[in-house]
Amino acid sequence: MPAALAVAILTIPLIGLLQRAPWSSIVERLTTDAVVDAVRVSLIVSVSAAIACVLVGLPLAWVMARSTRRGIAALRVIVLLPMVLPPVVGGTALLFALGRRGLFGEWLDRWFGITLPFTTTGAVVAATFVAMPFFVTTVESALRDAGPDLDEAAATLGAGPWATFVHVTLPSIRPAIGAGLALSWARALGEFGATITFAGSLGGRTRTLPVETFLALETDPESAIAISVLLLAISVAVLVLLRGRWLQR
Amino acid sequence: MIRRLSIGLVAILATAAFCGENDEPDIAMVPSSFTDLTAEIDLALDDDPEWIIAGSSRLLRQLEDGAAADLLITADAETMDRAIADGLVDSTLGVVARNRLVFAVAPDNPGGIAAVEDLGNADLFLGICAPEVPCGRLAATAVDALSVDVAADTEEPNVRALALKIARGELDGGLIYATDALAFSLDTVDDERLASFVTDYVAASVHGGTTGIPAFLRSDDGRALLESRGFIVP
Repeated sequence: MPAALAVAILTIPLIGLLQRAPWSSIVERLTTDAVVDAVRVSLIVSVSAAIACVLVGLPLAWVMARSTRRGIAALRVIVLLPMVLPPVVGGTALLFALGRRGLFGEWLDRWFGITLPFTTTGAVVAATFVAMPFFVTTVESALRDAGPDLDEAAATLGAGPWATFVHVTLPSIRPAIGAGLALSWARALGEFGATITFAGSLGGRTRTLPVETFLALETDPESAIAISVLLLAISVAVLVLLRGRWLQR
Repeated sequence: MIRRLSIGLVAILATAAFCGENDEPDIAMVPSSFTDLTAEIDLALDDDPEWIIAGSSRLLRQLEDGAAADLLITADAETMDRAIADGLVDSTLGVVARNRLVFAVAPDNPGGIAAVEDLGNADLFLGICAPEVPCGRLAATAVDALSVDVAADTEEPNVRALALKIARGELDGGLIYATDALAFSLDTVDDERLASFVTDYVAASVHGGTTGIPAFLRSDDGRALLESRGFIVP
């Protein structure tokens, strides 16, 4: 029974959404300039964020899985924090840290002329912030399961640390990397609170699909539902695709 | 264990239902810009109303979805017209307050903003409200009428969020309400041409409800309160 209840909690909102969807006009609603722009921004931002998660999250996951230092427990809390923090709070924190008048943002602006708020890069930073834990925790637990035995065997056979990582460690955790990538990408695609707080909302630059949905709800709920259905379809498609390609064990 | 839990749950629900029937406070739906007024209206009225504070369109959506309420105040006449057309309100109680559009600048005016035309300066960080919300509609009307270019870096769905970004200096300036500029102690560009762009806060009774709020807002105390917060009294 509880399992059925869980399934109901997860599916009932989706049924409600699909039932209210304006199917007869959905194509027109999804091909307006505003929506096409939002799709483009969303894809650029979510894919960049997922790539950023791999580039910096993979080394971090490796350090967390292999290190036995005491500080690792504290580090794990920091990594998990964006998962539980309300995204609006995350966005505000980003603004206070990396905004033009923020603690670090002021240096970025003065020394490098880089301003993150109100730019697509800023939206990528916000999405990476919220998506990172999903990649790191997935890959870290896989690294932990795989254990150091195989790595040590490779080292004994004369492989250097880099060769061991690329030829032994990486292949053994490939499914986890795929899963982590899918999860962090999906989280980045759905990101709203941190994005609007830190990066703002401008068509073609920072207005992602979730932000467009939120705005459309103000005056045109039918279009908001249509965009939601699109987001749902993209997410399902990618999860199914990734499942077929990378997630099989 | 489960049975004991469910008995407890039923007890809690029953208590909640009972209390709800006993008190029946008036429920007032007001737009976000009324946020700072609610505490003082509470003090002035004998019975504390229950406040629902959200963007005007969102309030309409809540009514549509069957939310209980006695009073609706919207941040512009257009939203109230929609509420009337959709049959969500009984009768309007007229305009209870007005708000003015201002070009607010960040503390110390780092962008050196001096005139409405600076809205078109692409080198500055500027914000307006999204055209989907009342303050954005008013801003769009104003820049159209004045034929000013706008090089906005963000179109915020919430005027308070926009005011905060100006107050923090993340934006050099933006078009917000006079009340928000006052709440954040922001300087505004002294440009008479903006003065005529005003939005009306329209009140209406909902589900046959009556509250003392419109009458209070029209009393001397109410008018003084509105003016102290930067509203224009009708």
